Amino acid sequence: MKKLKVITTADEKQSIQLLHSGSHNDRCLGDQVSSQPEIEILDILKKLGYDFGVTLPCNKIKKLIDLVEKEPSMKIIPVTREEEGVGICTGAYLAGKKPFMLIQSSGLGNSLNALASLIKTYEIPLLVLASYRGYYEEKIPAQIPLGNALPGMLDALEIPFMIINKDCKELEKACEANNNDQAPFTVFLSPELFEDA
Amino acid sequence: MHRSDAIRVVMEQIEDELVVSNIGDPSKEVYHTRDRARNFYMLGSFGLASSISLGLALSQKEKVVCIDGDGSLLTNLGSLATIANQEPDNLILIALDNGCYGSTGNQKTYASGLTDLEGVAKSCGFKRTHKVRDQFELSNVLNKCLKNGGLCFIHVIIEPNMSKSNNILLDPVTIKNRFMKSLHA
Repeated sequence: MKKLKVITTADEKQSIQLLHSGSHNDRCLGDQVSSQPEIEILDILKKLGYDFGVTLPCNKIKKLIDLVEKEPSMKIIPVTREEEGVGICTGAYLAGKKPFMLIQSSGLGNSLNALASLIKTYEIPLLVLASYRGYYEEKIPAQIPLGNALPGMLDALEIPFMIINKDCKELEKACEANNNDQAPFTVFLSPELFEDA
Repeated sequence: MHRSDAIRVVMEQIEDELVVSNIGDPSKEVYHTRDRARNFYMLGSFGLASSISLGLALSQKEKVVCIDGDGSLLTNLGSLATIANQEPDNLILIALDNGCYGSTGNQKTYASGLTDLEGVAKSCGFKRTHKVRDQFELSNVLNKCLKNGGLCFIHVIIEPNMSKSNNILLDPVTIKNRFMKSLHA
């Protein structure tokens, strides 16, 4: 089973960014549909069968949250705290749904015990789609410490993750690589992704 | 009424319903009272039994009975707001309230002080709430909730109990697999 690359060091993060800096052809530019990364992400989630999501807002993904909430093929539950969402997704999975979380990365901080003691313990597949804060041109100092630490924290928990900087299509690859794993995985959406939207 | 009495009364009423039980002694007592494939024993993730139950209730039609506790509800209080607002018509949330963290040495919770969990549930938007203090009341109220359907919150006042339960002899993945198999059979 192909695993997602686990990126743990700043150098590696930089190399990933550099890797993408030359790949503007892949970027969500061009026709009207692909210029909207939110639509592209929604289409990937639909194509892969995700039909149940929990959300907590982040300013960077407000359009994406709005889109998934309006998507008739998905049951979307706004939650009060990310950890609660981990529990709700577990119940949905037990009932046959394919769940995902759509949250701000800071919310991973208060979900880690649930991801370990519930999702990993019971071997539940769960996509955590997180707006990655404290990572790209961050204006809020409070976002920096956890944003910097999250890769190492996920690594320690052996939760695979990847960071999408420019090309939404990488979400599909990430989901397909983890599709058959009974485990959580995280896809960070860099704010850069939504910059030109 | 002690927790084991309340759990016995609840499990006597259960027919085909899905049961999600809380971390620690409640899950152990449900297991030793009446183990069945349709019980989901939550062994970790303090506070999330009610959230798991909500996800289940929203994703399929069968009735879900959540056996939760005061400490667990207090640590995930937002769950009551989410459940009340989502209002699944197939969920019964039973709060066994002994006013303490019973699995860790009976340290007091605020439910033993000024906080009334039934009042909290009402304020969060639950339209049907009940408070019961003995086995007879619990049996009657649960019976009505099961028959009538709809989202219900049953606040069960119980005595703290020092008795310890034996462990659950199932691994978590087995608990999950047989639960899912029973649900999709």
